[in-house]
Amino acid sequence: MTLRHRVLEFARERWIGFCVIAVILVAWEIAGHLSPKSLLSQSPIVPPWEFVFGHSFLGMSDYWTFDFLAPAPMLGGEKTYLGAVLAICYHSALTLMRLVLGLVFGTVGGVLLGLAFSWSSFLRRLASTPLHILRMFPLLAMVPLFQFWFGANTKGAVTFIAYGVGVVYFATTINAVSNIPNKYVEYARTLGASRMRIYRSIVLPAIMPELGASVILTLGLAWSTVIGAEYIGLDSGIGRVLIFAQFFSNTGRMTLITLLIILYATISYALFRRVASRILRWMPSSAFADAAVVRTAKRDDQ
Amino acid sequence: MIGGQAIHIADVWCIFEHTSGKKVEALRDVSIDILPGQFVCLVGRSGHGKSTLLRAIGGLNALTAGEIQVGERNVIGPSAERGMVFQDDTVFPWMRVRDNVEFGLKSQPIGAEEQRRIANEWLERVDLVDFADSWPKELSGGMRKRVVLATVFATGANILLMDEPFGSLDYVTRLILHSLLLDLWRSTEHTILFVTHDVEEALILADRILVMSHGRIVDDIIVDLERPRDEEIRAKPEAVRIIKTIGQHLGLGPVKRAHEQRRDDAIIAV
Amino acid sequence: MSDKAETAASRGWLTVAAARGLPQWLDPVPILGIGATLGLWYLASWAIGLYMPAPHQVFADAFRNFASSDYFMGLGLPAGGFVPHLAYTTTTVLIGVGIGVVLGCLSGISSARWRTADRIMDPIMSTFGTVPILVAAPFFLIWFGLVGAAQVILVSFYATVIMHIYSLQAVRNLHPRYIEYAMTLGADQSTIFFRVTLPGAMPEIFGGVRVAFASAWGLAAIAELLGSRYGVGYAVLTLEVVYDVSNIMAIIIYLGVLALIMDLFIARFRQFATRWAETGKTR
Repeated sequence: MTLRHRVLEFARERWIGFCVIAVILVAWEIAGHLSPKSLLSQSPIVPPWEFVFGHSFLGMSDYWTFDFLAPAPMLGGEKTYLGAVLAICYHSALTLMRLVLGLVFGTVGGVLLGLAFSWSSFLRRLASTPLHILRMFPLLAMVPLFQFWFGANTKGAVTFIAYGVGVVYFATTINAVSNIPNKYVEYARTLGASRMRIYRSIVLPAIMPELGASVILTLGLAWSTVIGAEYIGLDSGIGRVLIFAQFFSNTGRMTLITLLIILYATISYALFRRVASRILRWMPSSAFADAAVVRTAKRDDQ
Repeated sequence: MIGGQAIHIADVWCIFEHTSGKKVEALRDVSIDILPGQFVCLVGRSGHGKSTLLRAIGGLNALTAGEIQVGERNVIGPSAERGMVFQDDTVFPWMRVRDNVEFGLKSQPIGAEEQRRIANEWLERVDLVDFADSWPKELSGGMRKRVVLATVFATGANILLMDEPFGSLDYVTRLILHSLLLDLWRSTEHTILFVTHDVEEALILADRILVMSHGRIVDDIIVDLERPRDEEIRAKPEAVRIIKTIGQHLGLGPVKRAHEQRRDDAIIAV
Repeated sequence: MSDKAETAASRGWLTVAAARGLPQWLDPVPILGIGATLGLWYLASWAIGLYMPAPHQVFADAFRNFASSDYFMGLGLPAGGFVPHLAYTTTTVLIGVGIGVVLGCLSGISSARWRTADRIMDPIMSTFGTVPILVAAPFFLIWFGLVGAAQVILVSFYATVIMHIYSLQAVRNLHPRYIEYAMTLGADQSTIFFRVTLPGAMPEIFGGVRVAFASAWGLAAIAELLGSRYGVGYAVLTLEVVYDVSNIMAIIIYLGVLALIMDLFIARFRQFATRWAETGKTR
């Protein structure tokens, strides 16, 4: 199909969706003009779009706290668009960095630990009950705890995210390893493969589909935890900026940041979906992949 | 209700299009008439159109060209007058056996009392009365197939379309179900169209065997063997002749090399 | 050996209890597991010190402050110890998830059934599915004050999105053969919907309910941490000021226990509601 066809097809399928979004945007704008201004900041409770992209955007420069490349309003400098852009970039970068680091550490740590525990069936059973209980502890409720233990800073935030993600991968890996049909392992044994080889050539590929399904799940988890951690106790990152803005009832800035978060989240999901489907497709063993396709389809979009 | 209806299939084409754009001609210019009360088997290799034709008659597949008529009316969609038995295990697991059998009756203008009576009657005929209140998960695969038979017969459909219904069952269970099916057919005289890739199964069951290859009906064999037929059937000379004929149509013979097979396939397809 | 033990043996491992014919809950391995975890905890508290109180201290605090506590009153928390906070948070979660289940199932099932509904809901649900619902919390704080109803709304928002996705998938994942079979038995659309599609989708929908509950607890807690005057989050906030890690851990353990009980409850209910389902299969 030509590109023109594809675009038309896309538009035809989604026109209702576009209308819905358009309606929401327009309703917001109308509400923005009708809503009263908050006492604290003189910004409307529901900020209209021109306010968000004009006044509030400029106001973002408040969060640029270094007198470098652009003046820092907090230190007495003026508000500048450059400052606003710098502030947005700086805080976004921090949040994204924490997100990525937490995901990486959590994934690697969780999977390795899971594989280690799967080595011995005794260890596996030993870990399963405490793990099940651990998973029940509401992650977001433990933000203050983790800040006590690891500090209200980037290190603490990354540890927190890594913990949340790691627990999921730990449990998933153990579960996936125990779900591998015995026949594959037995066949490998009869061919004389060592334990190490079995782990590398059979176990790892076999658990990939189930891990692939967890990729999307943990992305959502990581976002919640990083935002949550930044809400409480941290002093940088876009979550912190959001709460700070809320403290002064700067709804315009809040809206701007929320839009940014929506943007980042959407992009990250699209990216991770690609990664997840690559992992699934790369593994040639279709027997594993078939079962996992259904599960991925199920757990996608979480 | 005793008796069956005739099925008239005229110039039927069924062309599927894959998402990649590739077109598959599943049915090519198929025309056949099936007489009321006949037990007809459709045999052929996998992927050569048997199931497509059956589903088209059942109203589940749309036709690209041609028409299918059942009792003077065109087939436009599924309906209770053409019951289907699938290879998959379609007994509703969330309903007890009795509720399964009564399911088809719910959409008919019959009172609850009568529904119960009919369901009981058919449960007796398939010998499952003792399990009427069990959950399907408590039954074996063969027993679940019997539930489906009871359900479909209970609706009063006088055409039965069966798509390799016993394919997933073991040999002995299959034989038991063969004789059950033949019993039910004898007493109801419904028209039955039975798809299978197992030629011997066709010999035991059918009056008439239609051989399908590459989307066409390539042979129409009347099976004159007297009933009741048993597994000794394959020894009879008449049966051997039929098996050989079918085998030739399907490309069997001494082991061929791939290019020879392809050449023969092409010839048959023409 | 019992049936269960045989299956376990054939899988290469055998629970100690099953091998000796004891009931499953007396199996020593999980108990060992918990013991090992407690051991690790002791180790951590010895290594870290101040901010990681030992298990016995946490449990003592949990016990002592459960139903009434002068210490808490001294901090400005209402009388009644942990209980009123736990009750408040539990209520928020129950009502929130309850609403979410109803709305989410309605929207998810309609989306599976009618393409128009899907086209309307999909962009909304996809956006909310990817963005952490937490982002709405500051707005709620300003618009509604984030107490009572606002917290419930936040939780139900989240639960609705989850249930929408799960119920949509549940209906779509039902094997089409069941529907075809029902059609060839003469059932009309509404019969098929109520007597085939819905019952068949139940197991997977229950899966969604468990997921919705699991995270709802955390969401409620952090909403309270942001600006409530009641509930677990608020209690944690107050305790945080005086660096009372022990009691914070205690109340979080209680929350975890509540979450666990709720999860078991749902699992039991699901067992009953889908008692027709074969064990080991999701459908």
